[in-house]
This record gives sequence, C-alpha cells and structure tokens, in this order.
Amino acid sequence: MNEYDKPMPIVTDLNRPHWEAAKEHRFVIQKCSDCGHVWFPPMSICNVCLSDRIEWVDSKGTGKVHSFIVYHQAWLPGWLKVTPYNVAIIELDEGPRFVNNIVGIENDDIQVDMPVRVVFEDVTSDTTIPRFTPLTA
Amino acid sequence: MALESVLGRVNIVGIGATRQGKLPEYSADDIAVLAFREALRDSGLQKSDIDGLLVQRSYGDAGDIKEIGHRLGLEPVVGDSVGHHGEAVHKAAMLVASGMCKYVAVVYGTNQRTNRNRFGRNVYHMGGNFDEVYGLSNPGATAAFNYRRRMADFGATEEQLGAIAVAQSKGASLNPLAVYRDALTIDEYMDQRYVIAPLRIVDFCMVSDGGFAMIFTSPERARDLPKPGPTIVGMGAQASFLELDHPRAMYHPSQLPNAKMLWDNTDVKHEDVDALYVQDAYTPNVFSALENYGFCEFGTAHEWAQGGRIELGGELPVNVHGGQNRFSYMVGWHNTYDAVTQLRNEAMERERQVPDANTIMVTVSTGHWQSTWSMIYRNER
Repeated sequence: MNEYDKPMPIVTDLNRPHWEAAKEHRFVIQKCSDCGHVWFPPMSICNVCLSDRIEWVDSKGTGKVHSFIVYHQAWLPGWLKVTPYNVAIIELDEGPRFVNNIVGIENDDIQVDMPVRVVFEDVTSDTTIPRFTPLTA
Repeated sequence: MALESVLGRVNIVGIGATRQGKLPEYSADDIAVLAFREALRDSGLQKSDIDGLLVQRSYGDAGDIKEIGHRLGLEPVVGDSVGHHGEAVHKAAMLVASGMCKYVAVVYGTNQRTNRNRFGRNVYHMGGNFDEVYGLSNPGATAAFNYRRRMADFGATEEQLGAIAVAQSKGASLNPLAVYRDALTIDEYMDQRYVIAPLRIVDFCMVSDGGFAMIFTSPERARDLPKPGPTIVGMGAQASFLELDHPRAMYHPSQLPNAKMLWDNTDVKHEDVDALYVQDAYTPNVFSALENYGFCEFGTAHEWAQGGRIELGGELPVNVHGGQNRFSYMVGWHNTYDAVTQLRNEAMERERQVPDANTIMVTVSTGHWQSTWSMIYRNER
C-alpha cells in the first residue's frame, strides 16, 4: 500500500487556484491589484487596504527557513508513522510566511535561514502538494 | 500619564480556588460556581453585594454568562462573558473605577481534563486546511518555532530552556494546590521526551480541571473588608492578530507595546517587582516576557535566567506557584490568585512565601503570540 494517507487539501473556492496551479507545478500566491500587497495563505480581501480586487501571481518559489520544528508526537492521521517529521515556517523572497515541510534533507541538518526552493509532490493522480527543499539540493 | 482614572482605584478583596487536577464529579459550571463561593467567603461580602459578574467561557461551551449568572442567583448591574483572564481583570477594574459597579466578581471554571480536551488541531488555520496538510498541530508549535529561532539568533541551548521547568517544578513542590509536586533536576529535564522539538513534554502546559475567582472593589470600600488589598497600580494592554505576518512574529510581539503602556503609566520600577507571573502555556514564553518587559536585554533571557535567578529566593522569582506544567492549566487565573496569596503573606506556612512581597507583576496572553494584558498589584498601606 503506497496510498497517500495524510490529510488531503480541502479545496474551496478561496484556495482552488493554489491547488490547481500546484498540479501544473507552479506555486501561486495572492496579490492586491490596488496596493500591491502579496500574501499567502489566501484571503478574499486584502488586509492592508481592504480591496477585494485580488489576483493570483506566480511566486519564484524561493525563500528561507524562518524557523522549523520536529514532531515526535502526532495528532493528525497519517503523520504518526513518519515521526519524527519537520514542519517549517517558510519566508518567501516575495515576503509571505506560511507553514510547509522541508524534504530532501535530514531533520538534524535543517538550519534556520537556510535558502530553500519549492518542489512538487504528486501525491495522487489529481493532487499535488508543494513542499520545500534546500536550494542547493 | 494615562489610565489615572483606573490605576490606584481598584483593589482585589477576595480570591477563591477549587481543587485542581481532575474533578470528574463536577461540571465546568459547577466548578465556576464553587470558585465564586470561595472568593465570596474570602472577601467577607454577601452574595447580594456582587453587582458585576464577568465569566470566562471555557472548553465545551461552558462558562456561558447566562448559565453562571442563573446558577449564582445573581441580578448584577453588569453580567458579561469574557475571552480571557486578562480581559476579565481589566474590565473588572474599569467597571469599578467608572462607578458602574461596586463589587465585581470574575470567574473561570473548566473540566477540560475530565472532558479530554486534546488541543490537537488549529494553529494558524487560515485560508484552508494548510495546517493539517503540512502536519502542523498543537498550539505549542508556536513556542517551539520561537525557541528554535532563539537558538539560531542568540545561541540559546535546550539545557538553558530547562531552567524554567526546573524553577517552576521547585515552586510546585511547595504549592499545596499544585497537581504535580515532584521537583525536577536539569538532568531529569534533559531526559524528558520531545513532543515538538526543541520542546520536551515538561515544556508544555498540562490539561486540568479547576476554577478560580476574584472580587474587585474600590480602595475606599475595601477598607471595610477583612482583606482589603492589594491595589492595581499598573495595567498594559495590546491586541495582536497578524500572526506570522508580524515582523517580530517569533518573539511575542504584542508584549512590547504592552510593556510600554505598562511602564509609562506606573510609578513602579523594574527593581520594585518582587515576583513575576507569566502565562507559560509553553516555557519559552517566560524568556520572551523577561525581555519584552525589560527585565533583561533582548536576546539574553536564556542566559539571564540561569543559576536560580528566577527561583524562589532568587533575584526575580517567576511563576513560583509552579506554572501550567506543574500547578494547573488555568490560562492566567492561577497567576492573579497566587500573586494575591503572596501579597497577603499567606504562602508563609508552606515556606513558599516570596520574602516581603509588596509588588507583583502578572502578564497573560492568548495563544499564538496574540493579545496580551499585564497588571501590577501592590500593597498600598
């Protein structure tokens, strides 16, 4: 059994463009058409100028590890059997911070401020989950 | 100076606690009522004197003001729900100082241990289920992120973090109300299992049942009561909602502006503070508070707190009741309760009295580095 058994994305009208782009191996974030603020995860209204004129834009997919932690206990289905696993706060070069995972490196070798880039894991035939890996990998 | 209409004009005249830990024989609302009863007895007031009631909502839809108000048989001028202990104290103070109410009771009761609150989910939860897709769960993750960043920014070590759990466990060993009373050594700390590295199991709050209540009135009315003090002489507030978008997201950002309001509006100086109580849902919060409130320089708390400095008998005893890993998970309510106990010299019999305690500071925050309230309580004689 190699079926992906961790929680799958719950696709909503708000986040659908992100998950659809991931299938095309693009990492998209949101941008305010009025004030230029960029952010991720998605919100339907800009929280700087309160405009609802929002567009999705391609991120370069590069950034840094702002911080990271290692779970030795798991509360979510599918994650228990992969403990210890990492969760990182990624800070994109464009600015947004969000949680993700670092792959392609041992947990003990991850470092704060390490440069990373997005990679795409096609977990099922119709779902792709972006994760991050050291820029040098 | 601002806040002069409140500071010096409100006393805490009654405190009440239930047993802590596991109270399966009581509902959360029963526990709230029992805590109120203890505070009322302590104050010497009659139930009918209470004309303000603020109740903190608790796990499982408990703590509804209408339910608690009915259970207490009260018809107060003001009866309201609040979200947090800090909000309860601040609003009680404002109600008394404004003259809207004469005697305000604030109450919290929970049976979340009996009801098995697991705290598994919901950390950031914005824009979809990104948290669970990426394995993020348990609000303690935020403190683990904080301490990892501190390790990288300032060379802090896991052993240095252990100073907090060690200090608090020593305090708990003397606290008759504490749920866990075994004192830890630093070696025993290092042998604890990781939950979310770099944090170990004893860096996390427990989940426990219990309740606390306090009663506030004016200093003039307090003089006629058996236990008239202490007085609120400092207050700071700051809400925060930006989470990871805040530039200082890793270091409890709401505490900095909170500290400025607190110190700008009180005659109390850092060196006057005889003990500090910090909301320590996770131990790294203590380091953030020591720095953000100016007890030591930013980036040094993990060194400053070593060598018994934050223990009973040290320069600045912190959370001498044992904190939320050892005493009880009471989201700040235990802090004001123990601060008043210390200021009344009522901790003497257990050899856990802070010597000559006259001025005590309490800071409490909601989770995820969000909103913070601070208070300074002082005996005015």
